[in-house]
Amino acid sequence: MAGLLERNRIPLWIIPEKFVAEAAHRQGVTPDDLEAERDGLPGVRLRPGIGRKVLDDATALMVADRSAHHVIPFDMEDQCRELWCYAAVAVGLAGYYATSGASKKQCRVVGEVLGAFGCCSDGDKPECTKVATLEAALDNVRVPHSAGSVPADLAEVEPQITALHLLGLRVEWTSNHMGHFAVISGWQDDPEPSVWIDDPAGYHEFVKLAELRAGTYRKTPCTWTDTYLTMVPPRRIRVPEDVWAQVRAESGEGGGAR
Amino acid sequence: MTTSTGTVDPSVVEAVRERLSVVVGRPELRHRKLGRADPATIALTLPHRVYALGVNELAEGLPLRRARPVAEAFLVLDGEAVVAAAEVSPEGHVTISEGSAIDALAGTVEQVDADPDVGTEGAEVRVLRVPEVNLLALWLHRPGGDGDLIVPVARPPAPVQAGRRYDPDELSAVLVDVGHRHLRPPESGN
Repeated sequence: MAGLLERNRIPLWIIPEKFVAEAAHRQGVTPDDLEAERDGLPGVRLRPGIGRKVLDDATALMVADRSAHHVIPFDMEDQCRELWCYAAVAVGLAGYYATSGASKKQCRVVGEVLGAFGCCSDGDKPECTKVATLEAALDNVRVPHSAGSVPADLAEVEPQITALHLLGLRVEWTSNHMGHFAVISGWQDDPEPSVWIDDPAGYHEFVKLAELRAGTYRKTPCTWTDTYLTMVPPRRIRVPEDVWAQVRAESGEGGGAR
Repeated sequence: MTTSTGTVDPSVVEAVRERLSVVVGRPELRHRKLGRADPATIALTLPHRVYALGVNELAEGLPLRRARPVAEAFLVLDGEAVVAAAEVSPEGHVTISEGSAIDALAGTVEQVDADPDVGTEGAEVRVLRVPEVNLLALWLHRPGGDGDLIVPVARPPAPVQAGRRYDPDELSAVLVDVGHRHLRPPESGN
């Protein structure tokens, strides 16, 4: 590890001591095995082979002590250009739902939404470096969506995630009134409501919902202006014309084309 | 505790520790680095402040030294590897982040550290961030030394170049155009 990172290292012990003690006790660690300090941190001197087991057990106790995260393993791709967050979010959602638009790249979505040619060969040209709405991009990649509450609360996020449906959100930065789109892919409520946000600017963030609802995202003043409830697109079922006619005939409706 | 980046408030470290204990090693987060991380080997490093400016201030050419601190922050280590960042707002809200932006920031720290032309000893490490224009940069504040140095991280707004070393005044001048470009009407997203 490089110098700056090593020089500034701060030891951190995130497993609560009570769980380490409980796990150690279960593993038969005796008071003689204990020492007061280890690298400035409280700890136990453990016999070879037993240390890892104690830590694993303590970790399991820590995990069991907290409410689970309810998350959809969603992979947001980074936006390819400065203003293309709408395209990155749309492409990510289309891929997740495997819609008929899932094969589109961001540059194609941008071109089709903006009515611009050549965005895949030169995405930096002016007609391709424009902003757009997420609604237009979602329509372009065939992701059904509807408007949710603004700002959303956990009561709205929870059933969406339970149904394996992702939520889009738009924040509007206070300093320039431009928007930014991202995706809510999970939640957790212990000790307070929080959400997982997948941001095409290159972040997967665990954020307190209260902070977001109060108008701060990435420690920057903003307003949560839109919530997009996305859903699985309806599947088209193909029935051959002759089969359809036969069913209709057998039901007494008579044959013939529709 | 004291580092080359200044004194770290133990209550800030405790807030981060508490928040990390909620996410690290969770089996339902195995698709994330923090979910796969070993709680026994988690540590923090590079305590720093995050500074910000508004887009309107970029457009006005406000010097970067006027940027405001918006969070106390750390990089999060799993063993030797940087896996995330943790930020604490003045109100005490802790945000844990991972992803390509954090990976790129860690890479820039290592790049600067390995550069024999850059003196990091005694420098105060900062991060400059303007989310409205997708700008994230490592900022070495070196009062009385060689002068401040700012290195933008991957995919900054054009014409800012990732990995290039900027003098703050030089970067400020470049960001004037970026600011103007991002002062646009609402009803859209970037």
